Amino acid sequence: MKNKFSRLLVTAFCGGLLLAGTTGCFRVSSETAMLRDAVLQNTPTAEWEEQIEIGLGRISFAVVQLGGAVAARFVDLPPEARTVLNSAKGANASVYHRKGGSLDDFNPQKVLAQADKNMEKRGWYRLVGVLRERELVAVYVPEDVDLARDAEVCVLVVNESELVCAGARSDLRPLYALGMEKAKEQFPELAASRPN
Amino acid sequence: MKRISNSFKRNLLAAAICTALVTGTTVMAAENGAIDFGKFKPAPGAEFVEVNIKSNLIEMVTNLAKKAEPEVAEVLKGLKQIRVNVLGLTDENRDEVQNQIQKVRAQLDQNGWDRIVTVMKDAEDVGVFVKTRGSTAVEGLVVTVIQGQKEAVIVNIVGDLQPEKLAMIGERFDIEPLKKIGAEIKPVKKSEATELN
Repeated sequence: MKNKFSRLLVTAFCGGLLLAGTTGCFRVSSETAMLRDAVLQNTPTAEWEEQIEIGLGRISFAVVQLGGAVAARFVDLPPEARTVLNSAKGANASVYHRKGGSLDDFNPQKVLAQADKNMEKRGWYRLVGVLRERELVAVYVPEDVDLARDAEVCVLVVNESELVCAGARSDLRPLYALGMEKAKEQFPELAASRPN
Repeated sequence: MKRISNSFKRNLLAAAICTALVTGTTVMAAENGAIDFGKFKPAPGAEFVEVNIKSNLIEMVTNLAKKAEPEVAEVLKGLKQIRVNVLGLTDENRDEVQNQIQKVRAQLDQNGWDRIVTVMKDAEDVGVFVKTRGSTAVEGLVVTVIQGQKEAVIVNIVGDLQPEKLAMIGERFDIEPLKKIGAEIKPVKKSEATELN
């Protein structure tokens, strides 16, 4: 009886580990980690404190979507929320807060160059780079992205006090349709009939 | 003698390759309408925006837009790359950026691009260039703007640009610059370039 219980416990533990491993609950993607490291390595005098690092893979999102479908029976979810939830296939984020030290040596150009180099090794390129005052925002996409139904993106945002690196994977088609619908509400000329 | 001759040939080949590389690394207009502005470095405290949209992403968006906005998809279909640089100007980088833009313009003039729009008004300095293929096809567009002492913008759009479709999009969404550019993009000689007041 004791042996049977111990075997059950070990099996459950291994199963839990396997589930966490395959769903990647506590791991960010390699790309997100590379963006994070580009900042951490180039700000040696800053003291960054990890706030959260989380990753949800396909399986985790499938579980979330199932949960959403069940919840929709009892709670009236807005259609936009349902669209976003159903489109997502994975997400991960790494958030740090600067608790001390200084950013006197913060060189956004160097951070951007390092991030570009790191991402290029993984087959990604920088779609957008914005630097304003002491805030840097960069968006990366894979070189071979061409499928709207399975698109990926990685984002880096860093300023004097926060560092956020995030990645997402989703089916863009319903999101595009949703975006266009909202844009037409805001800008009626988008919905106007075409000139002859 | 044969050995010297081979060595001489190798040196000549090396020199030719080096020359090609050196001329190739200056700001040059490639045959397909893309230009290399060089690398712009963000100056401390100044704004910096860089957008680089490649053909695979454009194709993906074209496919997405096909049903909802077919005329927009039609314009996007021929595009291969869109590159935008916005640079804030400070005392540190102003001269360098302005010189680089003037250099880009000079190179475009020398390399078969047509300057179709020139604006010099107040503190604004705008130049629009197109690269044509034959008499009707436009394969590249470059817009350079120096906005007083504050900002510089360079845009390069590469691909099969159809002027009538650009003008149509401009009409559809009431975008003045597109209406004008769509009307102006046609093979013109430098002497006939439009000066806008």
